[in-house]
Amino acid sequence: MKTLFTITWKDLRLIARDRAAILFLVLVPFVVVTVLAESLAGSDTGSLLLPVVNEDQGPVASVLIQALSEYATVVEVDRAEAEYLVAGKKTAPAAIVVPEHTSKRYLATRPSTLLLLTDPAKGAAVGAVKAYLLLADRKAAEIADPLSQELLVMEERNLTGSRSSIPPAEQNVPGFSIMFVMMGVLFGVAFGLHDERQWGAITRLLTAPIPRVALLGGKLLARFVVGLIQLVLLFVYGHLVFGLSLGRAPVALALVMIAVVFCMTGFSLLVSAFTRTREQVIPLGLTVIMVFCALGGCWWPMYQMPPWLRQAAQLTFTTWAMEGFHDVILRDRAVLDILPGVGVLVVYGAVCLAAGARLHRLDAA
Amino acid sequence: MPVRRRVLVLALVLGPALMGAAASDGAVAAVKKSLDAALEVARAGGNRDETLVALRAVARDILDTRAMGRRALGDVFAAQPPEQQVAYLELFDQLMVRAYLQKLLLFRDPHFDYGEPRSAGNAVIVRTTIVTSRDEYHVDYEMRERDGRWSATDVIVEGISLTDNYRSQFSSLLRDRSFQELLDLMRSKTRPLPGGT
Repeated sequence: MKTLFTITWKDLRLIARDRAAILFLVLVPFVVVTVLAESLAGSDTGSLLLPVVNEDQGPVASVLIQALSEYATVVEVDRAEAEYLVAGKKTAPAAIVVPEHTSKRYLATRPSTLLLLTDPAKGAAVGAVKAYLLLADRKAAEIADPLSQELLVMEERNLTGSRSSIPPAEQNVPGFSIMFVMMGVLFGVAFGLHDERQWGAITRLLTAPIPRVALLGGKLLARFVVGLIQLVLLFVYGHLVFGLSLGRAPVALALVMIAVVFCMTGFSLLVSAFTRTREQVIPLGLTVIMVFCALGGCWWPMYQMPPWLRQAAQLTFTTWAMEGFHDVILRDRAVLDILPGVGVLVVYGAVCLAAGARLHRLDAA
Repeated sequence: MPVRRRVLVLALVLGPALMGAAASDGAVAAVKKSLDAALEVARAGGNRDETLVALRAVARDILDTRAMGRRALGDVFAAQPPEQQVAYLELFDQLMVRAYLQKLLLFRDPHFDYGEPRSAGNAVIVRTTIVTSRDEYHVDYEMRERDGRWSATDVIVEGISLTDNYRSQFSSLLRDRSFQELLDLMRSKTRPLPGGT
């Protein structure tokens, strides 16, 4: 028994010696719980942006807007701005156009057609907007019941692609693929570098006539290739099993994949540079992966997050990665359309790579 | 022309016109009274259910839903047994009052303008305009006097008669459905609003 306690005490002292690992271990749950809680805080606070084009300017539109404001952040804009917010800026999943003379037609008991301009790539959010319209129907009943007589008919028009609805798998497969590939690349890079340092392989390699860039670059390239193959396999699996669309531009999809894995590789080097021991890799790596996946919309739609967190999420590469995949596979965007997003990912990855390489010490253990 | 004959001719010429003017005044006054009462109820605020009950009373005071209901059904009404007629008129009353109030309640603190009334047979058409900051909405009331009391036998909103609208819907329905099915459908449409219907 004494031996057991001795070994336990020895191990506890060893663990305590790595203060950074302990710090990560204690901090991780707090950070992850905070980010997850904040990410989902916006789901019932009307944080969804809903542009309304009020061409009617009459009482029916007023009642509708008043009712919708209970559930979403309604902004009155013109048609061009509404289309830009949905298809260009992509900050709104849908916009509602209340056509001219809707109030007059309603008062004369003649039906009018409301136009719902949607981005089906934000399928869950579009579903929420439709649900809000139903709720607005009930709310409006308390005011004047303008929707109860089936005088307002809804016509849906997809602004961003050829389909009007997107199966859930087409939003989930890219998100979870990014998460698992990120796990593979980040832990692969970090463990690989730490293990080689611990095993003394780095010492041998550093004494060989190999440039430092080639040494680090070779290791990272190997992880990049593995990550890319993993991502391609996951998408092929998603395509064959879940019917995941691969978009209409295979080159665009390939470019996004390459940019995403390149970015992940650079980011992994930067993260691993902040860890001094193998024990620090797991808590820090998990924190980063969970936070980036949560903020980047890999697990749930971005609209569920409060606006300030959505702004903050622009700093994570996962947000850009998800947008890139959504652009190609859900919005049928072509190569030229996705180049700005790909550019952001490449620059993000290059900056991380440069910073990581500068911070990383390829010295012997 | 002797003075007595002149007075007679004048009476024959101006009499109907003066009587018509008096009739028009009565019809306009009835509409104005009703709309003012509705405005007063709406402006009083307070409990929503109580407001709805008060507005329904105002609507029933101005609308002759029995006449509207008979007109909306046309010859079919007379062919129904008395109990079916009663059931239909009750349901139609609910539908019409509800439809009228729904339209009226859309406007927040509306301003009503009254146009020149015109005669149409034995009815007087009272023209009103709901004026909002952005638009105007025309609502005409077809008023008829019965037992010394003026009430609307039709409401024409933006050129569309509410009664005719129901009439076309009913005749279209009765082409392939029974009268009982029409009553069932009306029942399903008159789900009670809070405050009772």
